[in-house]
Amino acid sequence: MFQRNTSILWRELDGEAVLLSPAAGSSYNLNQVGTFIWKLLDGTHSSQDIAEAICEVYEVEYEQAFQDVERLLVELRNNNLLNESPAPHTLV
Amino acid sequence: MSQPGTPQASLIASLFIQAVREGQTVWFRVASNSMFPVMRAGDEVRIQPAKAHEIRPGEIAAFETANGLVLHRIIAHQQTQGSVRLLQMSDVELLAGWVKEQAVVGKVVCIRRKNRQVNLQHSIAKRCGMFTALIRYKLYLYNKNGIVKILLRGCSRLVILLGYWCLQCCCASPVVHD
Repeated sequence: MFQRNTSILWRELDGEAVLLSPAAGSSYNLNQVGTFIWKLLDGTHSSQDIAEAICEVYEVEYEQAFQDVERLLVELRNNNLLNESPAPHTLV
Repeated sequence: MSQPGTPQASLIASLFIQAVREGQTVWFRVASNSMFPVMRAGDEVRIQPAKAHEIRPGEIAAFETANGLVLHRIIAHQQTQGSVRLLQMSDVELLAGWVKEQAVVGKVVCIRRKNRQVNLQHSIAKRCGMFTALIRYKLYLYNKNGIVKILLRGCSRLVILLGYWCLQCCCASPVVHD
């Protein structure tokens, strides 16, 4: 499960998100698919969930969508734009 | 990097304003040379949240305008019927303007250029700012054109340059990354 870093400010401009990291003074642009992914990073969706959601909206194969999600997550994490929420407790 | 004046640049500026208004201290890239030589286009400045009444003459305030975020020196402040307004002026132009309390976002506390940063909270930096503000305010009050105005303008420029030299000598240090 992944969650947007809560200190990151963001807004949408023509369907594309502009993110601002105030601490770093850096801004980042996401394309439409990236913005779609970004919006789903609320701590309740896994990479698989997000890839499935992409397949429902865009004409793309699941494997391709999953790779794109993973690639973006790595990039977001490298730029401290993401908090990784702990995995939910499971009963054994 | 978005170009100044584009919708994206305005959006990023509004995000910066939101961040400071929410109490975050941010690094912001300067887009103009209106505060030359103290701040140049491309420099990074640290903006700390501050209310209008917390900003003293000589300090560089960050305030919101129709054209986005502006960083100019405060040369005077005035108490008016329960609120404060600040008189701002760039270090280059002689045009001054009043800033309403609500438009004030914060103040510049540090300027970073290449590998050096200048601490504007240093007592010497504050004094340099105060002298600059004082002479700029005199210039603002002096309406007549003529030799006195030319002299005042020359003195003002000299004070800015001397202040800049003091900042570089006494208040600058190598960049320490957070």
